[in-house]
Order: sequence, then C-alpha cells, then structure tokens
Amino acid sequence: MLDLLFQSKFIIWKNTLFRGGMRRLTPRLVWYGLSVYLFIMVVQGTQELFSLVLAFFPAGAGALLNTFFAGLFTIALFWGIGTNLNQLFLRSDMELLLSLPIARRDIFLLKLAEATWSVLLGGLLGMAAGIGFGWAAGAPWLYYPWLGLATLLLLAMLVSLSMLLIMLVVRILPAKRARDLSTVLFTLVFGVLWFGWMILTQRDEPMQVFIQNQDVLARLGHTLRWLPTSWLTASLEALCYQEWGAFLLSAGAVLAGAGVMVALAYRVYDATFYCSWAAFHEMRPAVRRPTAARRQKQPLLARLYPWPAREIAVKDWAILRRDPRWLSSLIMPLIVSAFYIYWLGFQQRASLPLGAEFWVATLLCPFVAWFFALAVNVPAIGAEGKNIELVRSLPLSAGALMASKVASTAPFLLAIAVIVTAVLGALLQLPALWFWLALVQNGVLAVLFAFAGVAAGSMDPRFLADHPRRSVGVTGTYLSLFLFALLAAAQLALSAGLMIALAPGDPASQLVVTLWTAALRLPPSVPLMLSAAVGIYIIALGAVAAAWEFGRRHLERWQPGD
Amino acid sequence: MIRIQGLTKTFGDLLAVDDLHLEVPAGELFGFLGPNGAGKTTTIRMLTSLLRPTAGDAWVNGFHVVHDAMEVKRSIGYLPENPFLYDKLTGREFLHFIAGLHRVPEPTRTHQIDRLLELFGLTERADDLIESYSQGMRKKLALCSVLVHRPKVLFLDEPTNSLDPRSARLVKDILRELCRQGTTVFMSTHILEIAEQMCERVGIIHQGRLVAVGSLEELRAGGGRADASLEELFIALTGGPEVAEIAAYLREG
Repeated sequence: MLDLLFQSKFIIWKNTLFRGGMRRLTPRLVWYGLSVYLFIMVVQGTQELFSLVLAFFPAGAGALLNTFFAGLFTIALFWGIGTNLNQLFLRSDMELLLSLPIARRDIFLLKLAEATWSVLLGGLLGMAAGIGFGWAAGAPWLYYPWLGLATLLLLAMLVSLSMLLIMLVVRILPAKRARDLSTVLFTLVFGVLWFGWMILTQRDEPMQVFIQNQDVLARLGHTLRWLPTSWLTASLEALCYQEWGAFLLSAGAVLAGAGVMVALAYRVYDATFYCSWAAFHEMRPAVRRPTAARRQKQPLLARLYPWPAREIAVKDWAILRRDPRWLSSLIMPLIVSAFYIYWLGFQQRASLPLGAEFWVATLLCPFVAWFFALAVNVPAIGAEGKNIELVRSLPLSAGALMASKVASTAPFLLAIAVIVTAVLGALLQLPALWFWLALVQNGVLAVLFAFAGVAAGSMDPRFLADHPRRSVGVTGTYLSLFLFALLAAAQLALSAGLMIALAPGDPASQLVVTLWTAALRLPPSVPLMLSAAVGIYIIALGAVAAAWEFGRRHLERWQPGD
Repeated sequence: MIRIQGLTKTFGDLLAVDDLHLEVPAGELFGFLGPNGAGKTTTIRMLTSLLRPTAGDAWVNGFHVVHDAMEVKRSIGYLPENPFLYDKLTGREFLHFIAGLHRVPEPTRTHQIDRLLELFGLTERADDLIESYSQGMRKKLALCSVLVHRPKVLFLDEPTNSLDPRSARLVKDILRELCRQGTTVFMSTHILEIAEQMCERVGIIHQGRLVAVGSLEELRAGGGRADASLEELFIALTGGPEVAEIAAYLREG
C-alpha cells in the first residue's frame, strides 16, 4: 500500500513539474538551478573554512561542523512545524486517505516522508557543509553515502520531534484555537530564539570568534555534544579518521535515535489521532458579536479612501486581524526590526563613524520595510486565494483592485517606516534637518515599496496556495526583491545628492564625498551626483511602472482555471 | 436580455462550448441543463465575463460580455456552484463588502442587507464568522450577496444544492417573484424536477452543443413523445447509450 501512496505522490510531483507548460516549468528550473548553485557554493566555502580550521586548530573542526548541523537542523525543526501540522491533520487529502482501507501506520509514514521532504533545504545545507568537511579532511568514499543517509535519518528524527510537539500542543491548548495559536506560538518561539542568538553573538563576528578563540570553539562543541547532531558529527569524524569502533557507536546512535523517535511519534499519533483530528476540525468559534453601533463603524483611515479602496481595505483589515497565520508572518519582521534598532541604536551608537548616524537611520528602514513588504504587500493579490473568482466577478477592474491593495497595505509599511526612523533618529540624536529628511525619504520609500510589492505580486500570484506565505511564485518574489533594491538605491542616491547640495560641510555629506572619491576616483560634483541620482530614480520608477502594467494585464487576462 | 451568437470556448484541444446560439428575454426563468462536463459552467462563466470566449459573441443587458465586461458585472448577480466567501468575515461584513463594491448607497444598503438576512433566516448568525457556517448557510449567504444590489440578470449555478427543503422552496419562491418583477434568471441545475416546475423554457447542452431548447411542451413535441417527463427527454437527448450500459452492468452484477 505504501508503495502505491508514494507512487501517487511521485506522479503528482511529475505532473506539477512537467504538465504546466514552459510558463510554469521555467521558474522552477531557475529555482532548482539556483539551489544547485547555492549548494556548490556552500560546499566550496565550507571546504575552505574547514581547511583553515583543520590547519590551525584540528580539534575544533568537529565542533564547528556540529555547530553548523545544530543551527541548520534547529531552523529546520521550527521551520517545519507549520508544514507538519498541515500534513498530519489539515491537508485536503487526509479525509480521502482516512476513508480508504489504508493502515494508519502507512498514512503516518507517508506524512513523515512528505514533512521530511518539506524541510529538506535545511538538510541539504547541512549536507553541503558535511561534504565540505569531508573534502577538507580527505574522507574515504564511504563517508559521502553515510552523510546522505544520516542526514535523512536526522531530518526524520527532527520531523518526528516536531510532530510530537504539535500533538502536545493540541492536548494543552484549547482545541478550538489550537490550529491558529500553534502557528503563532511556533513562529514566536523561533523569533525569540533568533533574537536571543543575535543578542548573544552580536558583539563579535561569529566566524571571527571561531577562528580566533579556540577556547570558545571547544566550549561550544562541548555544550552541543548532547544534541543528536553531535552523533552525526562524531560518526563523520570517525569515518574521516577511520576509527571504526567509534563510527559504529555513533552511527548506531543516529540509527537508534531516529528509529526510537519515529516509533514514538507514530505511537502517539496512533493513540491520539481521533482526539487531535477532532480538535482541528471542530467548528470555528463565533466572533464576538458587535453592537449595532459598531457594526457600521469603519476604520477612520478607510473612511478617507475613495471607492473601491475603502471596501477592499475594510475587508482586508477585518480578515487580517482575525487570521493568526497572517499575523504570525509579521512576528519575524517585528523581531528583526527590534533587534537592529536595539543593536544600532544602543550597542553600536558609540562606535559609529562621524556622520554615519543619518545613513544608519536611512539604510535600516529599507531593510526593515523589505521584510514587511514581503509579508504584507507582495502576497496581497495572491492571498485572495480562490476568492479571486468572486472579486473578478464584481465590477472592479484589475487596476482598481491593485490600487486598492496598495491602499490597504501601504499604511503598514508607512507606520513601520515612521516608527523605525523616529526611534533611530531619537536614539542616534539626529539633527532636526537630517531627521526630517530621513523621515520623508523613508516614508516615500515605504509607499513606493507598497506599489512595487503589489505590482510584483500581481505578475505571479498563486491563488491555489494553501498558505498566504506561498501565494506568490518564485518569479514574483525575486522581481519584488529586485524592485525594492532598485528603489532603495535610487532613494539613497537622491538623498546623498540632496545632502551634499544642502550641507556640503556636514560630516554626513563628507562621508558621501569620501566614498564617491574612493569609488570613482573623480572629484565630487554636485550636478553630476544629482543627475546620477535622478537618473537612477527614473529607472527605478520606470521598472515599478512596467511591473505594475504587466501585473495589471496579467490580472485582467486571468481566467478561472489559470 | 441575454443574447448569445455562436459562442465557442476551447481549452487546448478540448471543445467545451461549441457554437452556442440562444436568446433569453427579460423576466424569463431559463433552465440550463446538461450532464456533468457538458459546458454549463463554462457558458455561465463566459456570460458573466469571467472567461473570454474563443469565438462568438454574447450580450447581457445589451452589454457585450468581452468589450463591456465592467457594465455586465455591474448589472448581474452570479452564484457559482461552490460560492466563494471570506471565512474570516462575518456574514453581515461580507454583504456590506459586496454591496459596497456594487456601490449600493447607504442607508439602502443596510436596509437591504437586514431584509435579506431576515428573509433567509440568517439574522441570528449574521455577526458570526463565515467559517462557522454550515454548507447550507454559506449557500444562503451567497444568495443574499447575489441579490443585494438588485441585479437585472441572475446567473445561478445549482442554486438549490446544499439547501434544506424549506430553504430550497424559499429560493424557488424568490426567483419566481423576481421574474415577475422583470429580473431574468439563467439557472443551471441537475435537479430536473426544479427545472420542470419553475422554468418557462429549458436548454439542454450536451458535449458543448445546445441539443434542445424550448418549453417542456415544445421539447416533447420535438422528441415525438407527448407524455414524456423532462427526465426522459433529458436522458434521450444526452445519455441514452450510457444509461443502457449502466443498466446492463448492474444486471450482470
């Protein structure tokens, strides 16, 4: 039975890849190509790093490899929790599988394989680091097949662990809210872990610490030795040095650990299946009933919007504030913003070069807005999902829909830009003129990001995606990144030109002049700088306008079944 | 009110709708029948400007479905077989959203929404999230959304699916009353009894071609079977050989 299930999944994968025509195949091939390129780069990079470590501090190489594995597999563990939740209880094929004469063990193994596949990226990066280590250490051929097998075993172990966590959450949290809350909870846990890690390691470059401070490396390796990843590392080290006894011991630990964890997850899944299934499929709770007065009350900002932006904004804001999956996508951008504000505003304030304060306030905003735009603006059209058919059946043109989406999502970015600039401006004690310049510039940039994000998202929406995060394809995501980078570069160039024209003697202007002279070996020229800035700005706006028009036409031509 | 001339739609090699010609006057309740995959939904999607025809033309309320798509959408109400709703909105919020996009002014909007909610027995649950609604409630809410802007033409794809007998009866009564007031209803259904009871004329589409159109009496006369029911006529026109095969298969066990 299991072979039939895997066969059907393979056919689905094959049809998805090859039966969508070149339009769908090309972005996937580009994605696979980029992944292979990244894999090769990681192998090369880690090979060089490990060669260095093995030359100067051979005992630290294993600790470093273990740190790599621990980091990547921890990310994979948390990254995969949402997917596992979906795989175990929520996927649309679950009812079909349950209605067929299939043993629950087979369903579990299928879901385990699918969940492992979904976190394969973390495993592949770990594998690339492992290949780099083996290459640097001159490992025998047996090393490489074992690395592949052991990585898969470790991933299966982690997926089983995350399945156990999910099943535990279902038992602890109120059943009706388990589905929504678990998404938020795990994103929050991951975000807090990331924040803590960054706070702990931000004083020095981690790689610098590893190379320069052998004690730290040894201590880190010692600290992480209880993790299952250290069994994998120990087995790989033993293979490299051909210590067969140690290899058998650590390889046995990996095999036994994976076996025990998978068996445990299966036992719990089997024993608690119907309780968990019921918890996830109970009726959604009713929303708090509003009073008659509140029923008619629209958000103030929406009341200022014209038709149809008002209707779309009211609808979007009501949905977004009630959708924990969407809210959870804001957690990481918020934590990243908080960390960099803290780091630059408190930790690095004293060590910033003279005149750099303005540029810190100006550069951080596009970085933060980029995170938020990817979560809010880029998926705005795709997140309509199947309801796009409803929206397209209403008297609303594609252009009006896109403009409405900008209106409903731009306030988020604008608020973030204003808050980040204001807080950093206050912490770095920016002079009034520079503060206002940064504020206006970042505000304009946020609005332009909103246009660029919606335009790029409209060119490549995925209306059938099961999560808002996946509602834009690879092309749309990369295009949005390109447009954001272009707009940020244009804004920075313009403010550099303006700054030199307004206050040539200011340290912030002098910093630009120094960089200009060093990069171009030309004396600074205000007209040349301003012309170049305006030129870049026009190119950036042209690119956004072109993307907008392509997106509009794509949506206009969209038909059910596309 | 609805005029179709040579409407054709292909998806790659598949001919979904083939050279359809039809006219439905104002105030008529027209039943559009056909087996699964015959092209009913594709036809309705072309008439509601959601799909572009490969060939041919169609006008709804005098507006061309391709060239005047926005005017078509303003003047119609479209209920798909599986309605699209926003689960995280309440029923009332959803109706305000739809009415807003159709530019129904206040206070008419609120009055109309309250009236429809009352009519379909949804007032008690109007402020609950749609995700908590049953299938029948979702269908009723979708029907409210289709009627909220008082369209001149209604396109309904299986409007009574998922409804309990009482609600189905209510829908039938509402549709009859709307037709009496001049609204044109273009309804696709599998339930032949409903078509037989309600529709002044029916069209039967099979493998993309309109194989019969007219009142029940006209279809009987055309088929040379004076006492035949609509079901018998339908099977004779669309499924004769297949039905015989099924009967033979069942006999063989």
